[in-house]
Amino acid sequence: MAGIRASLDLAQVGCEVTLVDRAPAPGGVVAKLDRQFPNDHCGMCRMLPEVGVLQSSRTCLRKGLFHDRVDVHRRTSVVGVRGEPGAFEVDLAHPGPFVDTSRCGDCPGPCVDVCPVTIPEDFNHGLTRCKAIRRPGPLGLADTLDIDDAACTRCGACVDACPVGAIDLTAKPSTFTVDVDAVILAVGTSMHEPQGDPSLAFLSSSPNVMTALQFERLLGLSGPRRTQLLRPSDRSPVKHVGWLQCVGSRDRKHGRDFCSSICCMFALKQARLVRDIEKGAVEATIFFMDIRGTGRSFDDNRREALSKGVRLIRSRIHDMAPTAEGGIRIRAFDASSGRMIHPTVDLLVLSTGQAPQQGVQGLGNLFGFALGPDGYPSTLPFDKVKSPSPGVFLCGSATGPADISESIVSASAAASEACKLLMALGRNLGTPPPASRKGKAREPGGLLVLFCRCHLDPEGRNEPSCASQPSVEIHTVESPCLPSGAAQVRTLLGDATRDRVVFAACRTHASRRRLSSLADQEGFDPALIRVVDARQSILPLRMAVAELQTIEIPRKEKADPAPPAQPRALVVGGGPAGMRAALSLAQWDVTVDLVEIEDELGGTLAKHPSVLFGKDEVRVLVSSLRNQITTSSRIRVHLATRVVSSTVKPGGRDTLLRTKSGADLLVSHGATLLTTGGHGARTASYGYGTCDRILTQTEFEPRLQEAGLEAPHTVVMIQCVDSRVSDDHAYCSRICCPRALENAKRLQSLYPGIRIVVLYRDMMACGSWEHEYTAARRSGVLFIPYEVTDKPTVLISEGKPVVTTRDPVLRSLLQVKADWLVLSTAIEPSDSAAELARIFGVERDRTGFFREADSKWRPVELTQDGVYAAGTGHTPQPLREVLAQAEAAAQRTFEHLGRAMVGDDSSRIHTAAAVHHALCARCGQCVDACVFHARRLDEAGRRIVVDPLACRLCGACAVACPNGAARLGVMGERQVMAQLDAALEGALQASLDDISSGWGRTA
Amino acid sequence: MRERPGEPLAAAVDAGYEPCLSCHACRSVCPMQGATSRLTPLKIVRIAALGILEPLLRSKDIWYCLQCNRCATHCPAAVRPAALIRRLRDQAIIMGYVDEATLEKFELLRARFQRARWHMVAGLLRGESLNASDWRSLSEAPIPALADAVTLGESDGLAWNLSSCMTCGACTTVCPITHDRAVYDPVLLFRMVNLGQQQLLLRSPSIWLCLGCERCTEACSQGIAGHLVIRELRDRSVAGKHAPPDMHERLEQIDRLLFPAYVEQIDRLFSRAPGSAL
Repeated sequence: MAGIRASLDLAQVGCEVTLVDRAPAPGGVVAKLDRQFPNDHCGMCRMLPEVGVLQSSRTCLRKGLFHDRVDVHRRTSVVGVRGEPGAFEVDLAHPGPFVDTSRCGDCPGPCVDVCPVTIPEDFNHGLTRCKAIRRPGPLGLADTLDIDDAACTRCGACVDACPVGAIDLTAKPSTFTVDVDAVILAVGTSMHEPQGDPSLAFLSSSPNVMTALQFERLLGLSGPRRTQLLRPSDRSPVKHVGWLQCVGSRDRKHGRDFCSSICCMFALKQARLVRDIEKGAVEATIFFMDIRGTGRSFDDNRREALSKGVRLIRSRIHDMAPTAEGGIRIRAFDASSGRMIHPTVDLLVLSTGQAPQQGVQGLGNLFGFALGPDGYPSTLPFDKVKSPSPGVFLCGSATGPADISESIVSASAAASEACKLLMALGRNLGTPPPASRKGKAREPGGLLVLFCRCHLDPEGRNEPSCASQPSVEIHTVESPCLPSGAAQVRTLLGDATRDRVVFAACRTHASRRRLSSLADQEGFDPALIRVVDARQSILPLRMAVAELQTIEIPRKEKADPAPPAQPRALVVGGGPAGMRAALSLAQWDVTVDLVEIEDELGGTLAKHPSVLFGKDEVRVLVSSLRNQITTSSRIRVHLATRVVSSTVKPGGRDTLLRTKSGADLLVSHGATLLTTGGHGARTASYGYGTCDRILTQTEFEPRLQEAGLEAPHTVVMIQCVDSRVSDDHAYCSRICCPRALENAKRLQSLYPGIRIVVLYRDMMACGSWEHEYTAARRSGVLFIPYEVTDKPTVLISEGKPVVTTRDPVLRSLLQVKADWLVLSTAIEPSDSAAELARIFGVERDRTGFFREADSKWRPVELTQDGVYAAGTGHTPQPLREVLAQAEAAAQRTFEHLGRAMVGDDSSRIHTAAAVHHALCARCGQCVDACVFHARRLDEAGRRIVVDPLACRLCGACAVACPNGAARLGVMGERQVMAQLDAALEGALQASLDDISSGWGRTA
Repeated sequence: MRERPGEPLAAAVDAGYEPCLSCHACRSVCPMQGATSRLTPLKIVRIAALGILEPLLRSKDIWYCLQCNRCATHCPAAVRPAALIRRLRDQAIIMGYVDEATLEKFELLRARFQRARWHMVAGLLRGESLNASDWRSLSEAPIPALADAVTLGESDGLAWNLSSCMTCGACTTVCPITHDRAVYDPVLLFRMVNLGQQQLLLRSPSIWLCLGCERCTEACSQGIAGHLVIRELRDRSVAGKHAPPDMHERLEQIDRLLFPAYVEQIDRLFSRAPGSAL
C-alpha cells in the first residue's frame, strides 16, 4: 500500500515508475482488510488522484493498479543492484511468465475450471481453498490470473482450455534489468507466525484458533463467511470470541521487545464488528496488557467498542484447554472478584504482531543499509524515509510497525525525497504539459465509433448496425490493447473528421486511460471522448452515442477564465514542519511565503528542545533549517506576522498578511500549507497551582535539563492528565508516554538511586518505544496503572505532594511522598488554529486539530482543496513523524501546484460545471450546495464563478439551482435523458438484434 | 474439535515422553506419591508409551496430579510427565469422559485444597500443632487480606531482577495453585516485592504454598524467574525467624496430613468414571 501511494505520487508529478511486487498482486496486507476504523469501509481508492475524473481509471485499487506511468511487475523480486543515484541498474527476477497478461483477459476463466490442483488460498490465509491457477484475490480483475508455481503440476489442462493461448507452462524463470534514478523500498511487514509457540501448545493445530488476519478475512465482506459467524471445527454458531493480544510482541524473552502498534486497534475494531454483525448475540472479550492506540481518533475506537459491549480483561493469557463441546477454555484472573475464572470461547483470535519483512536482510545487503535491533532497517534520525545509502528510500511498515496513515505519510515523504533527488539530477518533473494537440478542424457533432474486435473473442462480432446513422462513422479495430492495434487506432483518430469519439472496448478499468489519452493526443476534447465496455452488451455503446450527440459546444464564456495558478505556496507556521516543507518546496522551484507569528523561526521546539528529541540534536536541526531558509532565494520569510484573511480565486488564493507593526501584505499562492504547532495544555487537576513542586512535564523539562533539582528522592509522574476523557481532550497526545520515559531515564542518570513512580492508564510505548519502557522498568522505575474512574489523589504535606493511588494488583491504596509531582498534560493545537480554519475554510474535528480529508488515506489533505497540514497542529507526534509529515505535505502541495500550473485551458471547460449567467439570480444556493467549495460569488458580487480544478461534476449545484442556471456541461439533464432514452428504446431492439446476430452474451 | 481427538496427544508426543529410562526418579520426587502412594508418574508414562490410551484417559490417576512438575525437573531423559498428564486431562475432556459439572467441582476442590494448605501453614507459622481432621472447616475458613493501604517502601525488585514485571498476569494464569488471590497469586507476590512490601510477605503463609513448578518463569515474557523470587522470600522468612528452620520437613508433614483427604475427595468426584482403577 505504501508502494502504491509512492508510485501514484511519483507518477502524478511526471515520473515513470516501475512497481515491483513479490506477491501476485499489489496491495499488501491492507488489501485483505475489508473494513477499517473509523467508517468500516475499505477506502483504499481514496488514494487515487482526483484530477481528470472523466479520463482517469478511478477503479477499485483492490482490483488492480492502473496508471499510464506505473509499470507493475507482479511476482517479481529484486536480485541485484549496481550503480549510484541517477544511474541505478536493478536486476529483477521473475519465476516464469506463465500467463501472458496482455492476452489473458475478460473471460469466464475455463482454465480455472479445468485445473485439477486444489491448494489453500493464500489470500484467505488457508480458510478457503482455490485452484493452482486463480485470481490472487477475490476482487482482482480477470487479467491478474496467476499460477502458483510450486503447486502447479504442469498437467497442461489450462493451456488447452485457454481460448487465446495466453498460458505457457514451459516459461523459464527470467531476469531482466531496469535503469532507474532512485529506489523506494516499501516491502511492508510480515506477521508473526504463532505456529510452534510453546505457550499455545495444542492450540496451534486447532481450527478454532486463528490469527487476526485470518479472522479479518472471516469477518470481511469479500471473505469466506456467507452467513453468521460459524466455528470452523463443526460449523456451529459462534457465541463467544476471544482475542489474545501481544502474540509475538512485547516479549523480551523471545527477542521481540517491541510493540506491533496496530494490533490493539485491530482487535477493538474486530470485536466491535462481531458485536455489530451478530446484533450483540456474540460475546467479545479482549485479553490485553495495555490498549495501545495513539493519535487523535483512536481513543474513539476503544470507547465505541466498549459502548457496544466488548469486554476488556487486562491479563496476558497463557493457559488454555479444549472443552468437550469444541470450545476453548481460558484460565484468566478476574480482578473484580479476585478469583480465577474459566470463560469458554468458540473462536480464539491471536493478535499476532508485525514483524520485519522476510528477506529484508538480503535487501539490506544489496542496497547497503543495516538492520536495527528489532530487525527493521535503520534510517537516518531526522529522515525517517532515508536509508544511509544515497538514492535509496524506505517507507511504510518496512521501517517499523506502522498503521495505514503513517504508511501513507511515509510513502509520500519517500516520493518527495525521490523527487528532490531527481530535481537535483536535472530531471524534468511536474505534470507534463499536454501533448501538442493537432489543431485540426473537425466537423462539430460528428461521431466516430471505434469498435474493438478482440483476440479474446475469436469468433468475432459484427459491428453494431443498430448504431449506424449518417452522423456516425464506425470502424473496427483489431485488438487495440495490443501494440499493433494501438497504431491502427492512432491512424484512424488522426484521419478522423468527426469531433467526438466512442471506444467500444472491454476491460475499461485498464483501457480507459490509454484509449482516451490516444484520442487526447490526436486533438479530441476530453469531454467528447467516451470509453465503454461493449463486450457484455451493446447498450453502453448506444447510450454513449446518444449522450455525445446531445452535447453542444457552448459559446465561449468571456469572463470565465481559469488562469494557471502560480507555482507559489503559502506556509503558515515556522516550526520544524513549516521550515522543512518550505525547503522541500523551494527545491522544486516553488516560491514560498513562510509566515511565522513569533519573532523567530523554530516554533515551540526551538524554545524548549524537549529531552525526548535529544536537546543538542534538535538545536542543530533547527539552526540548520533556519540557515537553509535564510539562504534560499525562493523562500520569503514573514516574521511576527499573522494571516488576516484569504479569498479564493481561480487557481489559488489571495491572502492578506499583517505584521505586528500593522503593515499589510497581499500574497497570492496556488496552495496553502498549515504547519501551526501545538503546546502543552494547562490544568487544574492534581493540586496543580497549589504547590510549587507540582509542575507540568513542559515546565519540568527545563529544570531537568539544567539539572536544577536538589537531589530529589522521589519523583511521581501522572500520565493522561485531563487526556482521553470524553468531554475534554478526548484523544491520546501520543508523545507524553515516550516523554515520561525519556525524562525518567534522564532523572536516573542525573540522580542515581532516585525513586520514580509513573502513574498511567495505558503505557503508549508503541513500536520501538517498548525498549525504553522495558529499560525503564528494568532500571527500577515503578509503573502503576490507574483507572479513570479511580484517579490518584494529591495532598500537600510539609510543602511536598503526597500521591495516593490504588494499585490494581494489590487492590489496596498506595501512598507515595514525592519531591516533585510531574503532570503529563495533553498537547493542544495552537491558539491560531481556530482562526486559520475559518480563514481558509477548513474544518477542525472536536479535538480542535485540523480534520483531514480522510484520516487514513489522505492524511495531509484538509477538507478544502489545495490546503494541507503537517506537524503538531495536525496531530501531536514525535519530531521524526513531524518531519516525515512535512515532507509528505510538501509532496502533495507540489502535486497540487503541478496540476494547477497546467491549468485547464478555457477552450476545454466542459469537464467542470458552468453557470448560465443570464438565468442566474445570484441567490448563492449553489455555493452552499457545493461540498468541494468550487463555487463562489466573485469579488464584485456580480456573478457566480466555478473553480474548474475543484469541481468534481457531482451535480449538487444543478439540483440546488432554482433557475436551471447551473450547467453540468457534459453530464447535464439532456445527456442523462438521452442516455436513458437510448437504454429504454434500445433494450427491446438490442435483444432482437442479439437473437438474430448471436451478438453479446447478455443484453 | 471432537473429530480431531488425537491432537493433544500428538502435542504430548512432542513433549517427549517416549525416551523414558524407567529410572523411577519421577516416582521418588512426586509429592502425591510420597504422601499417598496413589500417583506414579512413571506408570502413566509407561502406559502412554505403550499406546494404551483409553484406560489412561478414563483413569482417576491423571486427576490426582497437582501439576507441580517435580517429575519433569528431576527426569534425566527430559521427559515431562506432568505435561503429559495435563494433555491427557485435556483429551479426557474432549472425549467427554469428564463433564463440565465435574470439571467445575474439580476446580473448586483444588481451590479448597489450597485454602486448607494455607490455613495449615498459617497454623504452623503460629506454632500450632498440625491436625488434618477438620479439612472441611479449614478449606472454607476466610483468609485475611494482606494489606489495606500501604506506603511505598524501598524495594528489592531491582536486586531480584523483578523490576521489569509489567503485571500482565501471565504467571497467575498458569500457576497450578492459583484459584483465589487471597490464598496465592504470583503476580500479587511479585508486585508486593516491587512496591517494597516484602516484609509483609515474609510472615505470609502464601509463600510456602508454591510447588516450585516454574511455570510462572516459563510463561513470563520479561524473563523473570518467579520461582526463584519465592525461594528467596522463603529463605529470608526463615532467616528472619518468621518461619521455623525446619520448615521444609514440616511442609511435608502437612502434605502427609492433607493429601489423603484431597485424594479421597478426588476419588469421590471421579468415581463415576468407568475403568477408573488402573
